[in-house]
Amino acid sequence: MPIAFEKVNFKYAPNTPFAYEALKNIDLAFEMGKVTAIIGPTGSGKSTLVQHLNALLLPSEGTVLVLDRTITNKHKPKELKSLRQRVGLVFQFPEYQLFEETILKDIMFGPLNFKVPEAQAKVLAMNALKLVGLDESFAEKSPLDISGGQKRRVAIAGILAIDPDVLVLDEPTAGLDPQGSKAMMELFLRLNKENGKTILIVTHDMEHVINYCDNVVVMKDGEVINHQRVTDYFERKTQVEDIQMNLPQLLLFKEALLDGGFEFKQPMRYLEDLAEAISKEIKR
Amino acid sequence: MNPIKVNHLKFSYDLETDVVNDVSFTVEKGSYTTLIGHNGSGKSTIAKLLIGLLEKGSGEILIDDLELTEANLDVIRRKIGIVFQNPDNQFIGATVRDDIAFGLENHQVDPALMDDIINNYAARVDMSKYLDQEPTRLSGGQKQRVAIAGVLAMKPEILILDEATSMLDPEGKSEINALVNALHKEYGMTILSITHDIEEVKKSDHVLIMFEGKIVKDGLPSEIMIDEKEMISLKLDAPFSVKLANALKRRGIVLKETLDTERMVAELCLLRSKK
Repeated sequence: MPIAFEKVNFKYAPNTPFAYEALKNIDLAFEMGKVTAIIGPTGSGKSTLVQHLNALLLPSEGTVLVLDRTITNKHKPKELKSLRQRVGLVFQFPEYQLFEETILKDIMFGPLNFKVPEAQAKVLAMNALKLVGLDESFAEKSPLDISGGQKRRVAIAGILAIDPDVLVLDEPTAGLDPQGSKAMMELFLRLNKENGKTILIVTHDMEHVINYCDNVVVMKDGEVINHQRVTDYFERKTQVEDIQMNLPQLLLFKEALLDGGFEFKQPMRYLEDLAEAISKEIKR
Repeated sequence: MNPIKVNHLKFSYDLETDVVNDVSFTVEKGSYTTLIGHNGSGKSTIAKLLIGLLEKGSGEILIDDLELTEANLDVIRRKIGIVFQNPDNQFIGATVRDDIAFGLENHQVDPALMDDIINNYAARVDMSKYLDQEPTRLSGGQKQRVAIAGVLAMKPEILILDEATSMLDPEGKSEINALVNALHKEYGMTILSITHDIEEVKKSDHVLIMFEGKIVKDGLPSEIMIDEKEMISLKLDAPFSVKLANALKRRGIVLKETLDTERMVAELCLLRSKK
C-alpha cells in the first residue's frame, strides 16, 4: 500500500491577500519499508508536506494516498483516528506537548485515546519507554523533572506506543546532544530493519541523511526537485550545494583528497569506506 | 582581570542532587570559549547562574573581578549579553525596532540617542530592512540576529550563547556563526558558547567539557578533542576527522595531525605522492 502525492498543490490562506502556495504540483511516491529523508531550506514546504500524511492539512488540489486512504480537498477520510493510528506524526520539539502528571500516563495517552484497554496500554507504554532507552524508573516521574533530551524521548515513546506502520518525524534530533541524537537515529533504523516500519524524517543534518537513510527527497520553493537513493545523491556534490545544505564531513574530505590527487572510483558512504579507499591508494 | 572566573560553584534545583557540582573555570579576555557536555550535564544552568537568573548554592562567580551578588547584579548584567536557544521565547516588542529599544530603555539610555543606536546595531546584524516588521514573521536565523542586536546595543564585553543556533537550519546557523566570529575577531568580544556543534568546538580557543555537573576537561581543543574513546565516555562524539584518523591508524597509516581537516588532507596527499 502506497504513500503518494498526485499533482498536489497546497495554499495557505487561499482567497486572501496573504495566500501563499506552499506546495506546487507535487508528484511523489515514497518507497515503503525504507527510511527516507526529506531535506530542503527553511520554508521549502517540508513540514507542510508531512502534515498531509495524516490529514492535518488537506491538499488544495490533487490527491494524497496514504495506505488504503485517499485524501482530497473534498474527501476528508472518515475515521481519521484509525489513519492516525497507522501514521504516527512527531512534530518539531514534541517535548513542549507533554502534559500528564507522570511519564507513564503521558505515553499511555495515545493508546488509551485509540481505545486500547488500560492494562494493555500500560504494557505498550512500558515497551515504548524501553525502546527509546529510558529505564522503568522514569515511568512514575513527572515529565517536568527530566532533561530536554529525555523529554524528547518520552514524546517519541508516546507515538511508538500506538505502534504505527509509518513513522513521520519532523527534525527529531534538533537540539539533542551528539550521543542522544545518534541513539535516536539508531532507534529509527532498528524500527525500520526489525519491525519493518516505513520511516520519513525531515532533517537538516546531512550526516544523518548519509549515515542512516535509504532515500532522499529534496524540496525547494514548494516543489520536489529531487528524489533519489542516498548513495546516488551524494555522488554529485553540486546537487547538495545547490540547496545550501552543508556537505557531510565524509564528502568534504573526499572532495579535498580528490583535489589533492587522490583517485577514488568506488562510491562511498561510511567513514570506513573512505578509510579503506585512502589506505588502498596510499599502499598501492 | 578575567571576564569570567568561577570558583567552587554549586547549585541544586531540589536540594538533593548538585546539578552544578564544585565547578571552577576561567574564561580569558577576548577568547572564544566553548562549553560542551551531554544533555542534562549542567551547561545551561551555568549560563543562568552567570547572569544571575538562578541563585548559586555556594561558591563564587567573578565577572571582571567583581563578585556577582544581589547588590551588583545590574552592573554585571550590563557586562554580559546572552542569547538563548529558542528564538521564539525572547521577544517582547511588537516590531524589531521596539524589541531592540526595550533593552536600551531598561538601561535608561537617552531617548534622543536611541534611534542611532538601534539603526547602528540593526545594520551590524544585517537587519536594517526589517526594523518595522513584527518579530514573529522573521525566520529563525533572523530572529536570533535581532536577539543578538538587542544584546549588542547594550555593549556587553561578554557574549554568552546558550545553544543559540541549535534550532536553526544550516543557513541560519552559518549566518549566526559568521556574525559571532566577526564580533569576536573585530571587536575582541569575549565569547562563551554552549554548543553541541563539534566543528565549532574545533575552531574555538578553549574548550570546557561538563559531565554530570562537573567540569571534567579544560584546555585546548587540539589536546582534548583528539581522544575518541574519552569523548564517547563523556557521552559526546569525536569529530569526524579524529574518527577517520583512528580508522586509518587501524590500517597502519599514522597521521601527525588528527583534528584539522586541511592539514590532514595535506599530510595524506604527501603520503600518497611519496609511495
